[in-house]
Amino acid sequence: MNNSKLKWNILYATVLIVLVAEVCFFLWLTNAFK
Amino acid sequence: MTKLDWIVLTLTLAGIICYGLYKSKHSKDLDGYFLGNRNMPWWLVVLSIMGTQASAITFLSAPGQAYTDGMRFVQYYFGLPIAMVVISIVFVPIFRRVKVYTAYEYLEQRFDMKTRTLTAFLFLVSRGLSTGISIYAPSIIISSLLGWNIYLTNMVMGGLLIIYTVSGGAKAVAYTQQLQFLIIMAGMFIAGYMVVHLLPQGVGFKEALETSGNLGKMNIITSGISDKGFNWNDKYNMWSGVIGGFFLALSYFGTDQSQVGRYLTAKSNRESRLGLLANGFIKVPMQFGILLVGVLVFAFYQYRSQPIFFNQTRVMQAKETAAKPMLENLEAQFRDAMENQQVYQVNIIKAKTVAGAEKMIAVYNDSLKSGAAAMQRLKKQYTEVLNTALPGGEKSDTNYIFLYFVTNNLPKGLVGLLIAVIILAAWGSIAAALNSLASCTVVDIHKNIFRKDCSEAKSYRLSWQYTLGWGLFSIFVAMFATNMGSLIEAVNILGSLFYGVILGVFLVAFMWKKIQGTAIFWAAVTSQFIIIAFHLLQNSRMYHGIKFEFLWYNPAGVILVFFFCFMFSLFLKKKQDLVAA
Repeated sequence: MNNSKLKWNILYATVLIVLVAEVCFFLWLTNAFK
Repeated sequence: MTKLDWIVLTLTLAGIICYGLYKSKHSKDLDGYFLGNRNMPWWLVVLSIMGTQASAITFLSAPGQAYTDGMRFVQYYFGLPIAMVVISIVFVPIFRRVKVYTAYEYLEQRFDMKTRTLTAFLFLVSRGLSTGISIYAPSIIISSLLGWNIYLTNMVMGGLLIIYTVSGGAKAVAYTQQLQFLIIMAGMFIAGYMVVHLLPQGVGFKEALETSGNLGKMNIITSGISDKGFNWNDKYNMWSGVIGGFFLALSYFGTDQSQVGRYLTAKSNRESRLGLLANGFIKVPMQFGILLVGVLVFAFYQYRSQPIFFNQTRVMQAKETAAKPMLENLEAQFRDAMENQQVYQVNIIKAKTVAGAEKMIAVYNDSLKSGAAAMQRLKKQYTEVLNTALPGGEKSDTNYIFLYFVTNNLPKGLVGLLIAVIILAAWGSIAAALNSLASCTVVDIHKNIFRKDCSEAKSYRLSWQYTLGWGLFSIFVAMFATNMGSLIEAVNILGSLFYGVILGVFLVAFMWKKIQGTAIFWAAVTSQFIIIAFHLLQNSRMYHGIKFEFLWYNPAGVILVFFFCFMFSLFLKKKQDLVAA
C-alpha cells in the first residue's frame, strides 16, 4: 500500500473511530442521567 | 423585542449583506461556487456544505424537538460520518473523473437521457418542496415578533429572499458563509451558556441535565426494542439512525445537487474528500450541542414559569373566540401543576445536600414524573381546544419553543443577535437551494428538452427566470407548511420519500455494470410509486399492518430499485432473446 493510500485509510478509520467514541460517550450520558 | 435588539438585528444583517456584496464584486476567488471552476479549498467546501444544510429550521426547530421529544433525535445523524467515508471513496472519484457539472449528468453518460431527466426531476420535486418549508421557518419568527399573519409573512419573506437571491445574494452568501457560520455557532453557544446562567441558584449544568434526565429528556441512545420486539414505527433509535440515517445521508450528500454542487467545485479530489470528512467529524457534535440547548431550555422551564402553549400569537387569537373561558381554566390548572413541580424540583435540590435522603429524593422524583404526565395531558387538552377554536394555522408549538425562550429571557441585544443568526441561516440555505434548483433545471431539464446551445447571456437569463420560478413555487409550498408539526422532521420525511430511489439509481450505476437505461428507468419509476403509495397508505385509516418510520424509506428505496432492476433486466433480456430468435 502506498503512503498516500495509507494516510487516507487512516483518516477514514479515524472518522469511524470518533463516531464509535461519540456513541459510547452518549451511551454513558444516557445511563448517567436516566 | 427592544430597540437595542432591532438595532443589533438590522446591523448584523446589513453588515453581512454589505460585506458579501463588497466581496463578491471585488474578488474572483469563489466564482467556482457557481461556474464550476473547481478552485475551492477544503475548508471552504466544508463551510459551504454545512451552511447549505444548516437552515433556520436547524436552529429554530431542533431545540424545540429536544424540548418535546428529548435528545434521541441526535441518533438520526449517526449514519452521516459513515456516509461521508463512502462518498469520499466511491462517489467523489467517479464524479470528478467524468467531469460533470451536476450529478445527474453522469447518469446520462452511464444510462440514458430519460434516467437523467427522471432523477433530476425527483431532486427538483423534493428540494423544491423542502425549500418551501425552509421559507416558512423564518416567517414564524417575523410573524411572532411583529404579530403579522403567517401567510402574509410568507409572501413578504419569500419575496425578499427571491429579490436577494436573484440580485446576486446567492453569490454574496458564498462569500460570507464562513463568517456567517462562525456567527451562527457563536450565537448558539451563547444561547446555551445563557440558559445555564439563568438557572436558579444551586442548579448548574449538571443539575440541569439531571432535571431533564429525570423526565426522560436525556434519552440520547435508544434501542427501539420493547417486549414485543423491534418497533419499526419508533422514529429515532440507534438502528434507524445508523442504517436509515446512513442511506439518507448517502443520498443527500451523494446525489442531491445542492450538496454535490458544493464539493464538485473543490480544487481537487483531495479537497473534496477533506471537506466531506471534516463534515463527518463536526456534524454529530454540532447537532448534539444544538439539541442540548433544547434540553437545557426544558430544564430552565422546570424552575421558571412556562406557557402552556408557546405560540403566543395563536393563543391570543384563540382567546378572541368563545373558547376563551375554557382556555383560561386549563391555563389555571396548568399553572397550579407547574407550581407543584417547581416545589418538588427545589425540594430535590435541598434533599441532595442532606446525607441519606435518597428515599426522599426517589419519592419526589416519582411525584415529578406523575406531575409531568398530568401537565402533558393538560397541554394536549389545551391544544385540542385551541385547534378547534382556530381550525387553520399551525397546530403544534414545537417550532416556537426556542424563539419564546430567546425573546423572553435573554438580555437586550442578544435577542437581536440570535434572531439575526436564525435569519442568516435561512438566507444561506435558501439562497443555495434556489441556486441549485435553478442550475439543475437549466442544465438537466431545459437544455436537454430544447437541445439548444445557449449563449452565456441566455443561460444567465434562464437561470434568473428559473430562480424566480422556484422562489414563487417555494412561497406557494410555504403556505401549506403550517400543519407539518416539527419542521426539522417534516423536511426529513419529505427527503426520505425520494432519496432512497435516487440513491438506488446511483448505486446501480456504480455497482451493476450490466444494467442499462430502460431497466433502471422503470425500476426507479416503480419503486418511487411504491414508496409514495405506501407512505400514503400507512398514514390512512385503512392501514392496520406494521408501521415503518420514515428513515426506513431510504434503505427500502434502494432495495426496491435493485429488486426491480433485476426483474426488469430479466424481462428485457427475454424480450431481446425473442427478437434475436
